Amino acid sequence: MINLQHIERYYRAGLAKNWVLRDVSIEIQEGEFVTIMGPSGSGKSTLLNIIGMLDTPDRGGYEFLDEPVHKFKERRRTELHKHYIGFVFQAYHLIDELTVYENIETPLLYRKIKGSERKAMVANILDEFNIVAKKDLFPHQLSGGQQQLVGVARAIIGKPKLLLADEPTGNLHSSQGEMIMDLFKQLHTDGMTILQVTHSEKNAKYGTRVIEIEDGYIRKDYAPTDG
Amino acid sequence: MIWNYLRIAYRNARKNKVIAGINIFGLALGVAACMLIATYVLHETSYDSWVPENDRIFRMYAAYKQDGEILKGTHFSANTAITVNQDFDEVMAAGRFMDNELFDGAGENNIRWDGDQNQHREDGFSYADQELITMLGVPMVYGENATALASPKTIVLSKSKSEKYFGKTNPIGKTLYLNSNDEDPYTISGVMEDFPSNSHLNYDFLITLTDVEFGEGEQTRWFQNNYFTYVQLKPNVDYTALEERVSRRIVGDYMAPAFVEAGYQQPGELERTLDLKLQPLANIHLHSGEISDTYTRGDIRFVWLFSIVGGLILLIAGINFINLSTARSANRAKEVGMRKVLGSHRKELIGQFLSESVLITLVAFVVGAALAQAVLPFFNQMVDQELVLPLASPLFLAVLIASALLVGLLAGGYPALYLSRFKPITVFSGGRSEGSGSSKLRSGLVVFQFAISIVLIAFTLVAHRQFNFMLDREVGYDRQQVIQLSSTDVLGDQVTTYRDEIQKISGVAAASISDYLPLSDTKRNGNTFYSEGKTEADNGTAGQAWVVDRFYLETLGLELVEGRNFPDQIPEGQNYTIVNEEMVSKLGLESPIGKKIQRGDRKDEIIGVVKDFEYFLYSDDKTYPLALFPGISSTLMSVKVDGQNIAQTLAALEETWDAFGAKMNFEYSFMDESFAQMYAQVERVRTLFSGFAILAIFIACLGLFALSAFMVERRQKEMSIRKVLGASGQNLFGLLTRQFLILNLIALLIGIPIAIYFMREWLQDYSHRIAISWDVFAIAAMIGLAFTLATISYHALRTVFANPMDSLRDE
Repeated sequence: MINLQHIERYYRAGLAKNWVLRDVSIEIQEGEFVTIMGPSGSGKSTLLNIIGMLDTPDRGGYEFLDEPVHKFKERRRTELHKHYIGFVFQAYHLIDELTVYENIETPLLYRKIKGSERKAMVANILDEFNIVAKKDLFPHQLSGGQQQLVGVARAIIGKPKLLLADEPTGNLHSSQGEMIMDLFKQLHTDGMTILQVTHSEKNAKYGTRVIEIEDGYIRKDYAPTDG
Repeated sequence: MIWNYLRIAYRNARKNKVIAGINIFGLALGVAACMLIATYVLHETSYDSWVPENDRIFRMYAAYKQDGEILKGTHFSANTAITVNQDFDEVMAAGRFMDNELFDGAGENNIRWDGDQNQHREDGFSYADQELITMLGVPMVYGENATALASPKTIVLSKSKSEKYFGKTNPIGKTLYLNSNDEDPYTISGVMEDFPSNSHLNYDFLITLTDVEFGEGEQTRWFQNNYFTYVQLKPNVDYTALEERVSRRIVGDYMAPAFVEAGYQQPGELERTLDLKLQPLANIHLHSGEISDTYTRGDIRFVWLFSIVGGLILLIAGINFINLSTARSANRAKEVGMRKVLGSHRKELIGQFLSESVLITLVAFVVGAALAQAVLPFFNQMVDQELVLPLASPLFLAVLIASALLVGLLAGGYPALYLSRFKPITVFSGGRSEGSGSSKLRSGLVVFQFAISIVLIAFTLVAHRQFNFMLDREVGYDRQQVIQLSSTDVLGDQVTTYRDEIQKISGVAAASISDYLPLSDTKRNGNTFYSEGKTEADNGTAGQAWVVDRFYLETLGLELVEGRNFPDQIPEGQNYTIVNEEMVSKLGLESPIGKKIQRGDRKDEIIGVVKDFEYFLYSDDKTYPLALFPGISSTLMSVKVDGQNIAQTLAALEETWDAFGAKMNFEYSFMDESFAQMYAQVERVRTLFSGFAILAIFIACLGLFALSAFMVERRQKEMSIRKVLGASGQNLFGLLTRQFLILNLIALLIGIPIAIYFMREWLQDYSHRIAISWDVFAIAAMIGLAFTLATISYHALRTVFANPMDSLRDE
């Protein structure tokens, strides 16, 4: 599904280059639940952004579903991620001015899904996530865990093939974190490909594969013990 | 989707009430001003468009070259219209107005209806041809447009005058007597609709010209010019080509021979100096600046001025909009980023921001229309019009909505492009959320706003001074404590006795009988003067011949520079005159006392020279040659009173008036007020302009107020840290305001030259004008700075006095 070949990413600081990713090659199959780990500044978020097509590598090739993303213009990339990728962020990034319902509905609007169908989809997921009672609240009226729940609901409502999560539990209490991770596990069981970035060993154990990154290089790539 | 956008727009507005309020209110103010200005401009430019075939109707005017200047006049001899109509196939009809007050019946009259004992004073009389009301298609209430003025001794009155005297009944056939002339009755033959407010004509009584002759030979003579002449051309006639032929024919074949025969001109002279022109009907109101007629009219320059000011006001409001939107970008950045992650294309985001700005503009337009409607009565008072906002007209609504869309797209365009450019990755990684490009643009726009404001302030100051100067300057006579009594001609032969009687009243310093006064709308004439014996040698000089009594100079405080006043008794066989200095210089007289001046066959000895005074011959205030002749011209009397107890003096005047058994009410006016009235147009423009300038500055300040809130908010943390580190309140205040003050100074540098340029241009139009002095700019700069400081101080001071820990705690 994802095929990264010799990806490099750097920032210019004067004449010098600050390397973020160096010669990263990864292949990820559909149905995997991959955890990217590493210390702060190791490049894991950048890797996630490149895979999510929010960022572009300076060098190297990226094929997503056998399409050469690195050759695409922005418009086509937007199309790709609109249809196949969902995002979950550490800081939730809900739109403050929209209610829970409207936040979840927004990706469907961009996919031009009809009103009645949209309503049904949102109602379903609200039900599934047990947040029907909260649908008319605004993000600031929710707890962190509830906001992230909405964030996940919004990410998967369009039935993406790939879910990208950047420290999804980073701002949450441990009990709320567990709830989110259980949710991910359930999604994975239902067949979704998931790629998460985390510091937490505990969270990594929910997945099927761990990639450790340090100073821009891939150091280790292994299956977690008792996953 | 659009609902989603609008919902966000609404919630954003609700969340930032102050900003949204300023955006909407500022824009609404601008829109209201623009609507009023547009209504005014449309009215001004719609003059005479009510005339059905106005594109084929022209007013004739004469361009006469004299002393290197071109004088343009609209008065023609009686037979001009008839001859043009006869001699040119292209001309379908020609018709005349004659409203020269020198002739009985025109202008103001005392009227009496058959069956009514009382006299009434009415203005707005003119003689008119039947052809003219046909040509103009004057709509009739009673009677036929095609025949109303066809018969001799008929009169048509306006609907409002008809209703004043006859209520709702049809007055046709009723008899009217003018000026107690009971042997000479007029019959009402029609009632016309009042001339609309966008007509250059404003007569209430039209007397037929059929079979009228003012003195023998007047209708066929070529050099007695009292008629406004209008022609209607056949379809598809090129009027510029025609006017040349008309000019050649009328001047060359008729006027010149007549003038030469009468000894007024050398052969060939008139052909060289006189051109006849055709002026399209629709141009009369706004494009007659140099043409001398007796109508009050508009001025295309004011139309431009106000259009520009209206545009600037809207521009300032639009700039507020742009600045506030981009300043707020930090708050919207996250939303933009997230929407992109959720699959939004940039195009869709642009659409979202545009629909937001269009929504705000639409609301602002609705509020603006309501505001405009609310202040319309005041505005009408200021422009002396009865304008109506066509709020119910579909075209108006369409234009309104289209303008709202346009303004929304223009003002929202840059913010939309700017905001939609944010990259999610930059936004989420907490990088700079605001490009330096936008803050540069914002500074530029603020400078632009400031510069406009400074130009407007300076212009307002100069206009104010110019106006005061015009009202207060020396004009050569003393208009203070002078009272004009009107309709004194009803006293008949008793008028001089009345004058002598009231001079005995203790509060009266002097009283003089004369219709000729240095006020506009009083009697004028036209004569050619020669110095004695030089009628053959030169062309003479055009001048006024005024009939005055011997108290004239004293009453008006005119100064004799040489010679003496008229004596009590003019010796038998002597003709005396007092001339002004301009006459002396135009005729080239050295030691003028005792010399004689000649007009026609008449010779008058100069016994005095009066210092030049301004007397409003044309609508300008230059001085032209003038000669005073002793006599009685009895409609108006001027009374100089002393400043003590004017009310008591007026009561005494009225008592005497009643004692003389006058059949009219005692009516008077103060000369200084009449003088100010002549500048009513200038005054109106000044008031309006100041009003709009203040509005523009206010809107700019609104924007600045909101903008400073953002700037201060953005630097809140910085300020808190500085404060903790020991910065004083003054320090912080200086830091926060410095940026705006610098922008203000740049604006000053840009604004002042522009202001100087426009003020010079504007002052050119006044023959008596002030010099532009530097303190105008000092004051404008002070006002600008004061407003800026006051506006931004609110937020700056709040920051200075805030507890620094409030903004540092949650870090």
